Order: sequence, then structure tokens, then C-alpha cells
Amino acid sequence: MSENAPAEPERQQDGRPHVSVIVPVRNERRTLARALAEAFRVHPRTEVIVVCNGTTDGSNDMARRCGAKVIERPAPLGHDVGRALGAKAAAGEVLLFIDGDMVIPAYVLQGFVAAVDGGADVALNDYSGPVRKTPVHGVVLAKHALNDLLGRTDLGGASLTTVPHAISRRALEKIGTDLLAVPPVAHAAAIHCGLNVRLGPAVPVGRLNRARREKGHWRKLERLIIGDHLEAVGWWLNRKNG
Amino acid sequence: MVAESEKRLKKGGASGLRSELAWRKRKKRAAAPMKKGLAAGRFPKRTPAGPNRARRQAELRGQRRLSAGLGGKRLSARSKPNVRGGRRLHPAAAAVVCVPAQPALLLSALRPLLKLPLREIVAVVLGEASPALQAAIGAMPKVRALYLPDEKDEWRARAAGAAAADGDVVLFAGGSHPASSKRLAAFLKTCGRGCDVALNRITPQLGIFARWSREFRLAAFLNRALNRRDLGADSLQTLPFALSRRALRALGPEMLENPLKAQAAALRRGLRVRAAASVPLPNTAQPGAQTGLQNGQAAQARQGDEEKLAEAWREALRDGPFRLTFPDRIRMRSVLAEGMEATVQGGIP
Repeated sequence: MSENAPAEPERQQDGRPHVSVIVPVRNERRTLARALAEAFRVHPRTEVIVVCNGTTDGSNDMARRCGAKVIERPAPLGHDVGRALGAKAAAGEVLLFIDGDMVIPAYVLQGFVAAVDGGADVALNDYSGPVRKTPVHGVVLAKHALNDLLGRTDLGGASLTTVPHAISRRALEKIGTDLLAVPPVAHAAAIHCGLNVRLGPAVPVGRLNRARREKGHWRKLERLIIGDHLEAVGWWLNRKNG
Repeated sequence: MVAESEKRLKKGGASGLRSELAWRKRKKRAAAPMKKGLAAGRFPKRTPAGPNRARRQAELRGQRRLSAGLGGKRLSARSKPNVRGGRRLHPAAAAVVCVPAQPALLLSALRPLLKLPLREIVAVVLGEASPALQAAIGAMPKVRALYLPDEKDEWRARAAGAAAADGDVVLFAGGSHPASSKRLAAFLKTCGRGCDVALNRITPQLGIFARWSREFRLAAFLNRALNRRDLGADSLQTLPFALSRRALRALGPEMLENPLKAQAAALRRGLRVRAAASVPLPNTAQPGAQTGLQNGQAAQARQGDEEKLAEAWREALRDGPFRLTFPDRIRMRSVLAEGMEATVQGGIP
């Protein structure tokens, strides 16, 4: 943080945003306006980037009306690809990732920005999922196991897979935007690169996730995220080999 | 019964008598308890009808290996059924137990094993063994000692024991926390039924996930990644377990130096792996237990541990895509290579 400090006044003068809030959206009209309103209140110099992919309910127009930058893709990009696209377009020093279907109060989101401003490169949501039972969901198991494997048992089940989280520009440059499309790989990269990965505020997103009508949605998601974690393990092994 | 036999005698002369005697003999056998029959080496003549009747009868007589999984080969003279106490657990089973060179610990570790119908017990003795201890081990005919005075790693010692053990099934028992012979027998029986790897079912003992230790979380994730969700956290990391000769051949005894790697290899190579019985975990393996290592030792152990974990995962992800059977079919990763400028619209002026 100390090496970044002298550059800060210059950035303030050139009018660049301090915080970029990245929101991937697909038909989230019901909650989007409220979620964006909270996002704009995170910092006085905030840009909000909405990545609309496969949207048919007018969420894109709504985001524009709210004052967000909108990246549009006609087809759904799949999980987390929107985050990577948004990160490419972001200009802020702190990148905050949220979802359009969850309204998280600005004061909670400010906790993540404050953690990065305070020296963290990655501030994770301090949420480990439902762990007071057995057997646990495959996603919960995978997140814990990846942290165990990376030697960061202290992080519990916290992961870049879970929103909200914030990363510094330094972290973005080290990890690279493309890896953000597969969050566990980005998570492994952040720890492997020696970035300062910390726990931020706790947001119980399990309770905030909206119910899905699509049959088998959660099972498909579980398999996708387990696969993501295996990809992260493979990435880690490759780097370890040298 | 008398009336029935008289009827039979009236039916035919000499041949009738022979059949009468045979009938009485069968009746007597059927009336005798099954256990007695087994102990005497006699088995019920009637086995359930079906295409495998002949094979099952041969198995009961001990002329063939139990289970079709081992190819139904005839047993060699060396591996004749080992019968003790009227219960045959497996044609030729051996056990490996690692014990520190202390007489009390050695005896308590061997006691349950000596009650089992094992052909041999390989006792891997760690540390300097006194002549008295060596003499005591020498006095036990079934026990073969393997002295490794300089070996610190118990898993390396166990692998050496596995290489020395000879049997169609090898049981690996805990030295410091011996289980009862009844529970250990379940592992031999499971392998006898055609299973290659019989594990200790520890998952129900671990309680809620929040209390699981790192090693159990990693084992559970490995099982999950290799599509064996049913195994929970059960793995070769936890004693006791039993391996069939087929498993030992497929893995190689040296693989046991890294038990999680052996677990990954067993699952990847299509061995039949299942939980056999639940043996209580020693207190040191319970979640939250302290290892008792000093700072330097702990750091060294962590380093070695990380290497072993990496090896285990290399084994799990070998010869295939990293994602194994969890492909990503929904992400359009190609869009990340495209330019961004044209697509960004709006925003605060």
C-alpha cells in the first residue's frame, strides 16, 4: 500500500474512479435498481460496470438509466465470465464484485473496499456456507479443500467464488483478468503469487440467493464449481512443478 | 421319522438300505448347527440353485478363491484355507502392524491379531528393540518381525511391512490404538467377498463438517472429485484397512508411503473400494487434536505434507483433463480474447 500512496493524488486529479463495482446481470430487473443504488454509494468516486449477458427483461436499459456503464452480450456468457469482462473495462484502484440479484447495503460493501484500502490485495466474503452439518454441499467442501491445499486453512470456506469480494489493481495485474472467469483458479493464483488475501466482512449469501425455477440448477452449479476447483488444483500443480 | 424310514426300507432291498443310510446321514447333517458343520470342515450339501452353484460349492469347500473378482483361480497348496474358531475369513490373510519397540505396546497391538485366523503377522518394530523383546517376538510362531530402528516415518515403515507380507489379503492394523479382533475381522471378510480395498468407515464419527480436520476435508474432496461421494472422508489415511493382493499388485507396496496418493490411485485404477467397518478413531486423529510437534518439526512436517498432497493430487488428475468428470460446458471463455471498447456503453459522463 505504501508504494501506491504517492500515486493516489494524481489519480484523484485525473478524475479516475477509485472503486469499480462490477455486476454481471442476466434478467435481474427485479433487484437490479436497488443493488446498483447501493453500489453507487460505496465511495464518492465509483464507477459501476454492468455486464448484461443474455438479458431479455430490459435489465440493460434499467442499468443505463441508473448511470452504470453497460457491457452487452446477446447470449449468456456463463458463470463468472461477465466478471472477467467487467474487470477488463474497470478503471478503479479497487474492483468490487457483486451480483445483480442481491441487494447488499452500501455500508457492508464499504467494508471490502476499506480492507483493500487498508493493504489487502484480495478481501473475501467471510462466509463458509452451511458447515454445521454432514455431509456438506460439494461446493462448500471444494472451497475448504482448496484453501487447505493452498496452505490457507485460516480462510475456511471463503473464496473468490463467493460475492461480494474486492481486489486491488495490483492483484488484478498479477492474476490477470482472464483467470477471473474461473474464480477458484484466480483464488489459487492470488495465494500462489503471495498476494495479501484476507477475510473481509461476512455476507451470508446462501440466504440471499434467489430461488431458481430451472430443474436441476443447483446440481449443475455444484458440478460446475467442483470442476472449477479441480481446475484450480491443476493450475496449482502446474505452477508448483515449475 | 421312524415311520418314514420304514416306508423307505419297504420300498427297495439293498439299494433301499443304502439310500436309507444316506438319507439319515443327510438328515443328521441338516439338523446339526451350521457352525459345527463349518468347524468340522463339512458344508451343507444344498447351495442355492443358480448358474453359479458349482462355483459357490467350490468356494465353500475352499477349492476356489472367494468371489469371482479374483478370477476364480484355484488356490495353491500354500494358501489353503486358514480355519480357526470355525470361521474362515479369507483363504490366506496376513497382517501388518507398526509398533514402537516397547513390549507393552507390542503385546497390546498383537493381541487382537493373534485371535484372527491369519497366516502371518508382520510386526514392523520402530526404534531399538531390546534382546528380550526380540526373544518374545521370536517365541510367537505366526509373528515375523521387521526391525527398522532408524525409521521415523510410520507410513514408510508400513509400506516396508506391506512389501514383506505374504497373503491374498493384507490387513493393516493400528499399533498404538488396537481395534478388537471382531472389528478387524470385518475388513478381512470384506476383502474375502471380492473387495480390493476395505476402509475404516470413519465419516459418521467425525460429526459436523465444521469440526473436521484438514486431512479429512482433503480426503473427502478427493473422493468427491473421483466420483465416490459415498465414501465421505474414508480413506487409506485411516487405520485399519485391508488390501487384496490384486490391490497391492496394482498400487505397489511403496505407494502406501503416501496413503492419500494410494487412495487416489486405487480409485483411478478401478479397484473395488468400500468401507468395511467402523473402528473408533484414536484421540489424536479426532478433529482439533494436537499433534504434539515442536515448531521446527511442525514446519518440516507441513513441508513434507504439502509435497505428499501435491503427489496425491497429481495421481488423481493424471491422464485426464484437470476437471475430470466435471466439465465446463457453459462458459464462453472465447469472449475474453475479444476487444472491449466497442461494447462499453453509457456510464456517468
